[in-house]
Amino acid sequence: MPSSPPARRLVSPRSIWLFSLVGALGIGAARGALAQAPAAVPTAPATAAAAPAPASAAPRIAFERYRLKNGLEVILHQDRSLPLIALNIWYHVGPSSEPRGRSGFAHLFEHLMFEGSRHVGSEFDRLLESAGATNVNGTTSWDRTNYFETVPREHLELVLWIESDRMGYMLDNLTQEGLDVQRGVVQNERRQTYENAPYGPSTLAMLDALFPEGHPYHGAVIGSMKDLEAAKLEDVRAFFQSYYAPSNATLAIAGDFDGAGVKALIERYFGTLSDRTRPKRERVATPPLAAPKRLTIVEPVQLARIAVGWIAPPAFGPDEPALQIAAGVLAGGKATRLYRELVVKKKVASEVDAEVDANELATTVIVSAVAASGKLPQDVERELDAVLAGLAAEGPTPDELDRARRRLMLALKSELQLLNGPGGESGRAGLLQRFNHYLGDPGYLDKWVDRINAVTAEDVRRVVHKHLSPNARLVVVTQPAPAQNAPKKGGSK
Amino acid sequence: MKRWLAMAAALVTAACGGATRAPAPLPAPSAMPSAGAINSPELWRTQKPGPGQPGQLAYPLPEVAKLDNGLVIYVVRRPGGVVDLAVVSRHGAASVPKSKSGLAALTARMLTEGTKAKSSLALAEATEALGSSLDGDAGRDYTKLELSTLREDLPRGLELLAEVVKTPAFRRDELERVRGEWLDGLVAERQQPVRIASLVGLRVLLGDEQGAPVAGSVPDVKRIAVADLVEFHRRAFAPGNLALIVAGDTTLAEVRPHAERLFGAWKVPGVADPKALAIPAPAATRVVLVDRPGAVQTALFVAQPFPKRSDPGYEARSILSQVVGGLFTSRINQNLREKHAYTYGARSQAIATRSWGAFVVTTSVKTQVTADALSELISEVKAARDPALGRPLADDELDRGRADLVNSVGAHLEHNSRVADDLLQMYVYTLPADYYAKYSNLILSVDRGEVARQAATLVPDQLLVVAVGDRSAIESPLREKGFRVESADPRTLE
Repeated sequence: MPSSPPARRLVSPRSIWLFSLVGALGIGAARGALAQAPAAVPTAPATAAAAPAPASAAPRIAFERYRLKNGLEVILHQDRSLPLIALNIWYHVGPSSEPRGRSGFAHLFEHLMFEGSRHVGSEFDRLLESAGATNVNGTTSWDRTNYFETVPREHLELVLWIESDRMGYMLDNLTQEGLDVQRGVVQNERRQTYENAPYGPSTLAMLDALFPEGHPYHGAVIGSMKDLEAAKLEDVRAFFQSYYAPSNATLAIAGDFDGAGVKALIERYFGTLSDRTRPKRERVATPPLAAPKRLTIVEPVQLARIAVGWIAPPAFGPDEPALQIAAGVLAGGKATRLYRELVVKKKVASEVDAEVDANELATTVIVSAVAASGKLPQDVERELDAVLAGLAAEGPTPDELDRARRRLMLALKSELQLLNGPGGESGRAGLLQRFNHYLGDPGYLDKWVDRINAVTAEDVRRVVHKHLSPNARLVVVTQPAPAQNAPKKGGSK
Repeated sequence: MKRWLAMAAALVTAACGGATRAPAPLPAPSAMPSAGAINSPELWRTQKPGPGQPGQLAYPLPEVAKLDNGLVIYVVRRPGGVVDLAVVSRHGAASVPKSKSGLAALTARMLTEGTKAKSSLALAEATEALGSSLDGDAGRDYTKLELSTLREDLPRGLELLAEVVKTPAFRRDELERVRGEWLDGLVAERQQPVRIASLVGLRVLLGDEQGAPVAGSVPDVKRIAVADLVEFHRRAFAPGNLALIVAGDTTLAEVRPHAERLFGAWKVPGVADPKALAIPAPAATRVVLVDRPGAVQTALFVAQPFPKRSDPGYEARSILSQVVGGLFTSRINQNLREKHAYTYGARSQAIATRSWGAFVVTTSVKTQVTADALSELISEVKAARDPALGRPLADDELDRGRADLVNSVGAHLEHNSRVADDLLQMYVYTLPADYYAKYSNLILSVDRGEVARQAATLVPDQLLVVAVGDRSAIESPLREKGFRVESADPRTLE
């Protein structure tokens, strides 16, 4: 029961399917205290304590990578154990490349990519559903946008037909009406995910204040209502022309395909699409906050909340493995520090979380806690500070380090069962894409696991001290509005 | 709000961070391609490719065994080095005593809070040392404990599960601590408009007792005592009510000796299943309103009674729900989202438990269009029910509904946890062991007439609607459209 809106990826346009009516049956309620930090990777040596067996060898994902003449990059991963094929295309562009006054545009554009294309027409969803496609979606993150689906293997050619047509001919089917409808849909997505969701306004405030105005990561991926309102057809055309070229994309296919046949099909469907020069990307140096900042947001909730955000170095930098472990030492299980201290011992919080969101220019770390009933935000903040200070001073115990590492390893192995994960950046196709996008090396998995294994308690202490400093952070306090604490009986307004 | 544009990299200095970067202008109009200018049309692309050689997506038969004390073991072998384990009781929220809502879920949670030999912390450390977490949860018809382990840790994982199920501590001080956390969880849940709509909706539809939330109402959770946990555990976790579910890199031959050793000698008398519940539909459509002043959206929950899980026609009702509101291209989602942009999405589900069922549609719509959206939603239910309105159920939409159901179950084979969920359904709803192996044939054999017969049981003029939104903005438009609007009984929000 995550009670905080996403600070990270926007999954759309189908993410509505993620909220299932299972919730209507009340399943899983009141278990929010153990919110999980995002999984990274890893394996671990055994400790004597509970005598678990030694961890097995570092996992690998077999792959082949090549390029078409027009620059389209292809990554193939064959696995014939189930007659399924997952296709996952990453365009190496995200909101960090949006034009001035067009926040939210990359994500709105992603919605429009489902509206149709010249030869296929506007029936993508009907075609895919008729073919029995599952995990159909697109997601937008700071530096990339992806589109993916899993189909029975006999429909490989169908999805190559659809994906190549929207890569080459999406503009041909673009209409003002389509833009207007999807603008309205996205505005409703913003209302549902942030404006009308508990702690949503606080999350928007965090994202608006963490990176300075003008920085590529300033604001939320969803954008502002005003900018969404301003988006025009010319913007769509310009964005497509600039960023949706074959050489700015990577196509990953995982599953039950014939090795030679698939290459011929990819060449047939994508080979004739013309390339354009992709705009140069430049890395913007993104240091931590220069001074502590603090905001208070009043919301119609009953429980206060504290969220603390930091800017850390870019994805896969030298300190990321230790930061991922630090997040696992802090939260995500009942034997973690924030949970033990804030929820169990001091009883100031009812829910704790630690998230690491690693991107090209910077990593965002957000540690948050929802207050227990009757507890003030300052009670929560004081205890949260004490835990962080303790970790920065002493580091984790050997058992804490081992548990965090093992949890990462099990999560990774569990995730590797999937051909493609729900957001298109986990599962095998998703991980190949992620490693390729950030490192240019789809096969980085075993190296990453080695790096996680090499993390020491001193590394964790050092990165917490260095990157999660009280002097370079943004604190967002959600203060309950006394007058509107709860939904009241009708008429009691 | 402005963002830096990579395209105009020249404008970006290598300035130290925190500096505001000069944003780039939009590309000049002359640089913009006109529609279709990038790639020339290619006639061959207008031809939709046909399917290739299909594979056989064979859902495996689980290995099933029953121990002398009644405990059933289900095993599905899957590669990948990970094993998902669950101990599932056939008793859940539907089996708890009156005024003790939340007892099943709270018992599940308390099972994870310590055994006779291990404190809460020691148990958490032992499971997390395996890289795992021990999760307890309940639904209407089940209570379960789950743990996943690396293959090599399987014996240790089974030992932990057995220890937890057989020798829970249920310490009073731990209950008081967890109760505090649990009550805060209930408060947090009731901060979410969509959850409020469902909570109120099920309580109005099913009545106070069966409609109470699985996680409990605030007053009920406050009165649950250690004795209640002990009694529910004794009844629900008797071996004759339990299944051990195993999905992953192992076999029955490997699991069984462990299960005999850990669970075999343990005998407790079981209890009977809950009785079927007859739910009346409202005499006429009614809108129950929960005021949320200033809300920019209204959360809607629209429901009617539907048959329970074991009643004939479950698969036909599943297909019907897909077409009406389950698919992305369903009638309701296409209307409310893709035609009118009233919402980010709308979805229906044919909920079916052991003792009752309901057809439910949920969505969140922009405040100003609440009444229009509700009318459109109901018009889709009407059109699906009554072919005379001109839009009878069509073969192509039924095909999409069937394809989605069949392939979604097929895709469960990608992950242990999804297979384990299927096995849970199989056990709890006493489905035959080949249910999923034959699922595809079962769904594909449901014809249009059968779905139409189920559609005829929709009652679009007798729906229960819960609307969580800004009363001052939505009540009058709803009344103008002829809806009967009433205020939610505050007790349904507890």
